[in-house]
Amino acid sequence: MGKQSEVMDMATEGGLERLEQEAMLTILELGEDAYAPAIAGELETSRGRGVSRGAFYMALERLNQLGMLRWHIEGPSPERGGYPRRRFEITAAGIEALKVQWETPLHLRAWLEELLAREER
Amino acid sequence: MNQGAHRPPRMASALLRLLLPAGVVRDSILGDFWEEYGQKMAAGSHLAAWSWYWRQALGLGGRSLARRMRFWQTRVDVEASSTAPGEAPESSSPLAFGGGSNGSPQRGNLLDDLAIDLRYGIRQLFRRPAFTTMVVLTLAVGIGPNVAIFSVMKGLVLRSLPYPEPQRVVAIWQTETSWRGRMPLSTHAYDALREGNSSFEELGVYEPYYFNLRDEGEPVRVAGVACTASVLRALGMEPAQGRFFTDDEEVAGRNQVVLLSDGFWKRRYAADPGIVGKLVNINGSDFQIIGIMPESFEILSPWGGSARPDIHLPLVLARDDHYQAQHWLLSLGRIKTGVTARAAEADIRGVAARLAEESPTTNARIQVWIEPLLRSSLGGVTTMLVFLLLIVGVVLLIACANVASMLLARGTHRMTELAVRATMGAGRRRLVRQLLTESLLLSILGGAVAVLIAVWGVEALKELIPGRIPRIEGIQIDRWVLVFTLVITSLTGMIFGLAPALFASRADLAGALKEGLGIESGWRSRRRSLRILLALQIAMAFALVNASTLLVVSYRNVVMVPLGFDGSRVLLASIYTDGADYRTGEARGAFWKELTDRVETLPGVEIAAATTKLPLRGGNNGFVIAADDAYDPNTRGVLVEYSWVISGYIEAMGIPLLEGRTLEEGDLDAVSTNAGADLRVVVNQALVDRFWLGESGIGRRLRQNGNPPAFTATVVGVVENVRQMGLERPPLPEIYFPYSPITRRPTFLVARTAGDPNALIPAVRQVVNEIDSNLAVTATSMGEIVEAVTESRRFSMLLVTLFAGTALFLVIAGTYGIMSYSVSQRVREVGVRVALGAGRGRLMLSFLGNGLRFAAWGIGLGIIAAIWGGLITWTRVYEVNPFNPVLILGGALLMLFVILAAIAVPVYRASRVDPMDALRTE
Repeated sequence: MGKQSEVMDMATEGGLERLEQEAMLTILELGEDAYAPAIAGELETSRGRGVSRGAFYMALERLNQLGMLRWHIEGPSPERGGYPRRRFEITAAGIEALKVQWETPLHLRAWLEELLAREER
Repeated sequence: MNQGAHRPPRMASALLRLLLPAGVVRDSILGDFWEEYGQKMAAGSHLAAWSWYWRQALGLGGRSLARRMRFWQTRVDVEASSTAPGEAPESSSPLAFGGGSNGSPQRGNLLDDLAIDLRYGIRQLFRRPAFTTMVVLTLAVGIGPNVAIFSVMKGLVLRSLPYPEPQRVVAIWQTETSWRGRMPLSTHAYDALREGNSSFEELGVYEPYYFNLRDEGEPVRVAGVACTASVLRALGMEPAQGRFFTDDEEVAGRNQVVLLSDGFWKRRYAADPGIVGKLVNINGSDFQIIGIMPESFEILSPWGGSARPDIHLPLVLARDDHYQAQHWLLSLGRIKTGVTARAAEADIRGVAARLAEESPTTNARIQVWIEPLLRSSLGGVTTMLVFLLLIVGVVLLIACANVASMLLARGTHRMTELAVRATMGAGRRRLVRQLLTESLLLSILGGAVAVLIAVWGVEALKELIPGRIPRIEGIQIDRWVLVFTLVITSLTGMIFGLAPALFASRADLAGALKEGLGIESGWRSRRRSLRILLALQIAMAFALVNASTLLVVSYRNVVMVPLGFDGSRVLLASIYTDGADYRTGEARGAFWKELTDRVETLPGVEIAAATTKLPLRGGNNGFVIAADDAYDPNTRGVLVEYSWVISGYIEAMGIPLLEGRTLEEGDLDAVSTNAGADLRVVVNQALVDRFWLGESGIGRRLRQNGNPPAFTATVVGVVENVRQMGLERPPLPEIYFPYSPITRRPTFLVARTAGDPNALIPAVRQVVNEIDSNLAVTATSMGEIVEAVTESRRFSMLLVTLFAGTALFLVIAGTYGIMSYSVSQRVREVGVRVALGAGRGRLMLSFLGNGLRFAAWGIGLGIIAAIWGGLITWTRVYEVNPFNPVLILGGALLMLFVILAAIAVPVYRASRVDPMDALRTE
């Protein structure tokens, strides 16, 4: 509960950065193929411009520390110079945070519409 | 680790590896980068991929580093504000990335600690800019000379020769004694060694020489080397253009081919790409240019001069009896692979032994030996440079002690800060590391300024280095010199930083503060350490000052050496009559006769003559015995210097006549061109003393120690001893022969002038040009020759004196600084004592006494160091005893006076302290 409330607090007070949200969605979309180069590639394609790897990995690390994302180590390969790779997946807390993240603007939008409607009356 | 098809930029990978925290996350990121780099390379644009990698690596690495530095700064701030020690803010982690598992906290690595130490250290340096500047400049003065001298050593000695496997290329020397004298080979010996050895791939001979070269421009005298083709093969390099000459071209008539050096080709012919195949006139004959040497090609001569001569020609060896036995050939060879130098030497020694048996007349005592080519060419240069490195090393130690003193003295101000950190949980190791980091920062800054000093210093050294030393063009500050600077800078930081760091971080720091003793108790032991450091500085500076004094006195003794001649107002002109027009003795004789006669008629010329050997440039000699003595093949005879001179030479060179007469025209006409000539000669007093001590030499007879003798001679005159082998070796017995046209030795015009000899050089050139426009003339004065002889000694004397002066300055500054600081720490004590009635004079004496006590320790140690230094400088001094008590005591008094002056000012200021001000300040 504590962790979840922390997530909720963050969602309401500062929220997830746009890059973090997009990264989470991309990971969900890629599913079993959610490796960092593929995630970054998808982000660049959808944005139409390059993504700073510094910001990208920082975002992944922050999500990991918040418990919204986890990764699994897979074996090395020659194409990667013998280095291992990580496959990412979004946790339940991460999905919940995304929902909360979008619910807030929806809620605010409804509030705004009500205010505007009052004025018209 | 397997290599992908496209390996990312190594430096960028290494940087990323360094900046990211160690662990599996870092490894996976490196793999991601590798994979993406490969994808971009496969897409076609290598530059784009390379640029992407660097950009992303710097971005990610920079973020990681910044994040960790922010974390540690937060941690330091927390500690400083008395948060519970050891607690880190919860929300932050020093590491941007997890390590072995998802999100779990990781241990910090060395880089994290270094980041915060660096940041903290930089802040400390900027807090006290004046102190930092003083320390940096002191270190720069200490490190800079080391870098400069190392640059020279690297360029001359440590830089390997440009040949493949240079360790297999050796010089071969001949000697006739049991010690390893360096005598060039005779043609006879060369032929025997070349044909009889089994250890050398190639073995050849060469002779540095000067040639008259004429092409479309003015005739010019060029430095060249005549060598056998086997020399070029032994060196193992390939021509940059064209070809080398062959063995077949070492024969008269087929030897008119020449190779140009890269530098000469660029300077003289503007790197003409079509130069190969063209003709140039050398010594009156046309030579075809067949190739250009590689840019890095060097051929060293132990006689000095440039290692990159302008031209290379085939050496045609004269094989008549007269020249077979002359020792004039420098030799080098390439030892076969798998054969050791010792085995190669034993092999050619065996050949020499067989030669001695076969021709006892000329080779009875022949021995041969080998040494590395570089060592044989550099001679005493290596020793001189090692000596200078030792000197500047001592200067650096003095600078380190100076800076350590400054840091120790300054340690008082940091006791509070360090004590607080200790109580906050910082262990001693942590504090020492922090202080050492600051020391390293200071030394790095000092090293950076030192490089600037060294850049200037290297250029100055290249101007001052005696011109005869080869390879000067290779002296520069390159990456190895910078590596040396980095190493020496780091060591310097450790040396001067360790003691103050250990002292400042001592275990009872916090305890001392609690008890309120703190600064006072620290200061007493610090004062003792300061005195020890200062005493050591004084000792080292004294040793350097003593060494400098010895070299100055030696130099003075050398320049005061009686030359045996009057070199003022003597013009010299070197003219090589080696061309086709001068093949016969008659032609050479006629040229020199006409030249000396015409030069003598020039206004301002008192007398003109010629000689084959100048004073101070000996080495042209042979073995002579008294004519009455029977020839004994087992007896060498007396080594005697030979000079062939045209009559008037002795007067022109100002050599005093002691007995009899000088050579006359009639003596020249009486010379026979055959071997066994009976000559009239002039000898020097040393020869008379050697053969007929206490008696007159006039009318005495000598002969060459051969069977049959090459000459017999009757002495007609005795002259003063002239120094032949420089100024420092005593004069050898010498014979002046009437100039023989058969001699093919280089000949020098010698003219005594009424005024400045340099003013007559153009006129002499004109006379030579009128006689033969193909001849190039190199003119100078005897005064410049004398100057050049002392060049090497003057060079080392000036440098050592400069460094000794630097050391003395550092000691004076250090003494003044420490004394001022010491006095400032005792202001209250002075105030109290004056208030209680102590006399100011007595106070001054008390301070002076304290100051002089450690100075006495330093001078005492310095005397021991000076004696030890005398053992090192023994071989470098001339006619002065390095253990001369007068010099040592004189040096001690000088040091005492200098230190007294440095102490006096702060002591006087202390004695003027107003007791009320002093007590109020407290």
